[in-house]
Amino acid sequence: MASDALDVSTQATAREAAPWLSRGRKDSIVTWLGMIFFLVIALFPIVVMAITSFKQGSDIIDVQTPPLWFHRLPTFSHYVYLFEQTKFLTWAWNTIVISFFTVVITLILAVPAAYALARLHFPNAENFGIGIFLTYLVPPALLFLPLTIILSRYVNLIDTKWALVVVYPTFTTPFCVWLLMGFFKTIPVEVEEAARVDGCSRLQAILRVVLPLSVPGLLTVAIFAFTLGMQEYIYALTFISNSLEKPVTIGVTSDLIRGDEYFWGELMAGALLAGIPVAILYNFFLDHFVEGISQGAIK
Amino acid sequence: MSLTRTPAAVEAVAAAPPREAGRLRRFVRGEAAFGYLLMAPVLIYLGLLLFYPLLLSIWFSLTDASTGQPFASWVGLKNFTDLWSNETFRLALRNSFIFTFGSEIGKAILGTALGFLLLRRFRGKRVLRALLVLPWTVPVALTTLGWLLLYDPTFSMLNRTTGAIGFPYHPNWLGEPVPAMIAIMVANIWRGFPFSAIILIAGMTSIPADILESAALDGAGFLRRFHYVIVPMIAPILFVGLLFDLVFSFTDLSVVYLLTKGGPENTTHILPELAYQNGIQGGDLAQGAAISLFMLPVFVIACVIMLRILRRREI
Amino acid sequence: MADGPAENPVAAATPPERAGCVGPIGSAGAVSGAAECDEASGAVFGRRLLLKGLGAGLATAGLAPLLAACSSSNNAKVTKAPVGAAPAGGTPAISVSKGASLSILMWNHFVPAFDQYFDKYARDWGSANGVNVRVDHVDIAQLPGRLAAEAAAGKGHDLFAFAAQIQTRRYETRLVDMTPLMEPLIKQYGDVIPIGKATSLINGVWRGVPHFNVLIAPLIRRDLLKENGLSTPQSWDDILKIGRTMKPKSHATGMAISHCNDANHNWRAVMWSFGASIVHEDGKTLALDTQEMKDFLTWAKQFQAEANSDEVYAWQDVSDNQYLGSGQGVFIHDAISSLRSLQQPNPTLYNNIDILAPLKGPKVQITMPDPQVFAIWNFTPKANVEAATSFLWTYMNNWKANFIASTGYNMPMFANQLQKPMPVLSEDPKYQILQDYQGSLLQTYGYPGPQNPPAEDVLAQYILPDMIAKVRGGGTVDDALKFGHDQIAPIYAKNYKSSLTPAPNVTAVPK
Repeated sequence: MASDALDVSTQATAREAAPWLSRGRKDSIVTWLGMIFFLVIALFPIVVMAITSFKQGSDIIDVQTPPLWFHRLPTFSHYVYLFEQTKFLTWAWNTIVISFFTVVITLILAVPAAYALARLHFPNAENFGIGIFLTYLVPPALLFLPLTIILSRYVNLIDTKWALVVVYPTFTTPFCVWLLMGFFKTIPVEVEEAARVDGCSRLQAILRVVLPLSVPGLLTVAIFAFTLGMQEYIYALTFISNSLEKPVTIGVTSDLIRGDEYFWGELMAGALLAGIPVAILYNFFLDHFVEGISQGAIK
Repeated sequence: MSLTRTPAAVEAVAAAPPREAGRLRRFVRGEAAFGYLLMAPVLIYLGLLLFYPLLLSIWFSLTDASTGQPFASWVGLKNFTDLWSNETFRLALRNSFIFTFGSEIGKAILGTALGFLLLRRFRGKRVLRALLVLPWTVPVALTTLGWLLLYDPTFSMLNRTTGAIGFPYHPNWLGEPVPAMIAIMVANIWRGFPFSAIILIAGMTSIPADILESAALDGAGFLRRFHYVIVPMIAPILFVGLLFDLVFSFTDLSVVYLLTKGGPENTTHILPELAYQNGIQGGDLAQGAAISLFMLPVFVIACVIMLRILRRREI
Repeated sequence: MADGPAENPVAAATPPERAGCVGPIGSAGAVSGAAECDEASGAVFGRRLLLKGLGAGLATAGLAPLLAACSSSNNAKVTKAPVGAAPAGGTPAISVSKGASLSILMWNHFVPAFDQYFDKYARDWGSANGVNVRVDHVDIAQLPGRLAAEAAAGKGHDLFAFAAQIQTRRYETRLVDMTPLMEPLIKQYGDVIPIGKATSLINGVWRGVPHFNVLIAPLIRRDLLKENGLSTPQSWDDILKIGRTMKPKSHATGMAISHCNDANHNWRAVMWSFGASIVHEDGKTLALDTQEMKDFLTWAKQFQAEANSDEVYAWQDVSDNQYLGSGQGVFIHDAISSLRSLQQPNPTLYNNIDILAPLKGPKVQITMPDPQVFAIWNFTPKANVEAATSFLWTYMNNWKANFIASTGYNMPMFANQLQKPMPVLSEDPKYQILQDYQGSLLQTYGYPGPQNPPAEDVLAQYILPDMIAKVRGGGTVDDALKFGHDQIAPIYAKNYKSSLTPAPNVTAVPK
């Protein structure tokens, strides 16, 4: 594995630099120091959010008490409120549905296009490629009003989660096409040729040979599309006012910020409950993806 | 890697029975059609949902559209010239660059360091990785609320914590121009550096192991290896990741909108957020569209340059 | 479909366009024809009511059975008793077409219980009348965006309420004429207070139904005043003096000067009290160079230096609540939600805070509340317009229960409903003072001119708070004025040309 090679090479350096310090220990120290540093940076806001979500309301607004610990007893009341008084579970489900279908549509759109751009020669291929990438540069802040017109008049999807499913691929697809192009290019043409010589049609060659080899790429695309969909703010904000259709980001921020009242405990609880499962999922696929890449890398 | 057929394969196919040969000719001719067919879905989709709204927005920017009357009368480039003479807009333009490129540098540095760290082997890596990815995976609107709590002038959670460990700098984070800019950049960097790390890891793991080994055995130090071997090989991936991230940062309004709304005194406006404020909440649709359109030229240029470089680097 | 006797002089005299139902998109645009403006909806509405009114006498006209004289094939009338208190005049319920639906868009009230009450009320009304009702809520800051999208698309909620940014003038030609609903309400509950007219009566036509005001009041720490031998303030100068004493003791005043709603309100209240304003009464001539404006900015400079907290330049709407709740603030200017929210977590502090009458300035006593105004898009299907109006009629007549459900927040806009003693407010000594928030004490942005689109743009861009911030520290009044000119003049120069004709004097009673 490439990562092993890296370890070897850095270990070699360590041995040259400080022979008196055992290479294992020096590496460990550097690694652990680095890890602690990054953990503190990455987790400090998360920890604050977590602690706030368990603090009693009066504790949160009390400036005399330490921010990183409890003055009064911690409480689950904010989480209870989140589940009982808001539609949190509905929002979470909406988010899952929206992200899932966004990924599906992105793949349906991006895979053929990426293959075409990576493999096939046809007039204007390069221009199409550039054109697709350029569309990524068009910001949502510019488009959401015209998109509302389209979503309301022509397809009547406004105020439903399907509005987001239809629109999200506009910003996931361009980048995913590029990613997949790269992956497809790493698959040697000979493999496809061989399949076709064996009697497969072009399409069959793609389905039976190319796609299986590019599973890591497809997974990467899926992860990115999923995460981008979850992060999105402005489209979700504008297109959906029906509380039952809101994704979790909008649901939490809109129902728990009322006028100038911030329900901090519930907001933080909602934030963590929305983000942690995704992190776990992400981490799982990341592993898969990295290993797949290194196995699939062909010299 | 060549995209054309190797001579051997062509011969093999040509030597096949006539039916195969005919099919080959049809393939060659049909390749263009097939290509267009494969491109069709994405082109139609983007045409309808991106190109058409874009045209509409361009139309808005050339008229005096307002939210009450989106289809109003032609004014030509007046919106653009007006913007250029507006101090707030120029500030927003400057801020957009500082915000994006500053964050990018921060993300690159932190992301690279983290990426290399994660490439090492050590116990508990999986768990730690899950934790380190949290800034990116928790939706930005929600983590920004967390930052709001940290930067809040009354609670000053950040200041109180750093004060407890003796850190001397305690500004009113969102209330002074420079700290506010730093504050939003920090929130943006924090959100994005795991992604940069992932890009780096992806790039690194695509480098064949033996190349790295041979470089190490040749006695090259880490930095030299990095510069002469690693970077050229992962450049394409880095470029694409970088460009994506740049565009994402440049056009994202969540962080600024939720933290400062452009304050204090218009010093942290960035283009997308200003476009939203003036165009939608202020009702001046034409101006909002014009502000947004200012974002395009910069990236069209950057994109074309990147694409040229990428094309040339292909081995 | 028979619309009544063709020769009825009133019907004939009422042009079908009276309801202001103009084509949705001014000039021929790329998206023509797709948004059907139901021209009939407003006109039919108007004509039917006039017919009925003619017959029954205007006193109890209301919206009694609309279809008495004519009936459509698809009008299976479902007449049931109205939900809630019966209208005072004993007017029977309005009939709505079965199968009509009603979607309502409201903001997130900071009293969550009120949203629950309203949603339940709407649903119960729906069940009682065979109408499928749905209520959606969005954050107040998202309302303009949401409504802009609905207007552009020609499709959206049947009934909605503007909150804070009342865009009745911006969307004048897109809103149903509510006069037939307003006239009986006025007859019953008295004239609408000036701010209600300013926000809802446009060019002589009621484009909205004023729902309520959220009052923004001075909140003061009585205990801190007592400790320091300070008397109850009545003017902004008194506040300055209090701040001068208290700021060195870490109890500065908390007036936001940032990109938030509170900053917009608070400083307009102060500015107007000095007799200064952004525009003159015509709503388009800038009034930035008056002596009053200079006096106001000079005072603001002093206030920021000597009395006001230095943290306010980053504040969001929630920050002054937190500032008060933390025990630091001696004074804030905010909705009483900031006080109410302390009742549970910190009763001691809650008891020590008083609400005051609007503060006086050198010229005038005045304040800027947040109004809420109901409106109906004119592209709403006819049946839904009827449902919406019917609902509104029942709901507005239920005002007392509504007010109590809001725990005293939703200050009505009809004169008779504001008479003392008011429910809830008169019962609690702390809140009694709110009953004095009356009449022309309450004004809206754009004052003394109309609340037109350029004024709204100035509001949305937080230009006034920015001007205040410009005079702090080393900044001069001239700096602020120059900034103001540079930012505001283009808005008025551009917008006003294409916006609608100026409204008549807003305090005049419509004929």
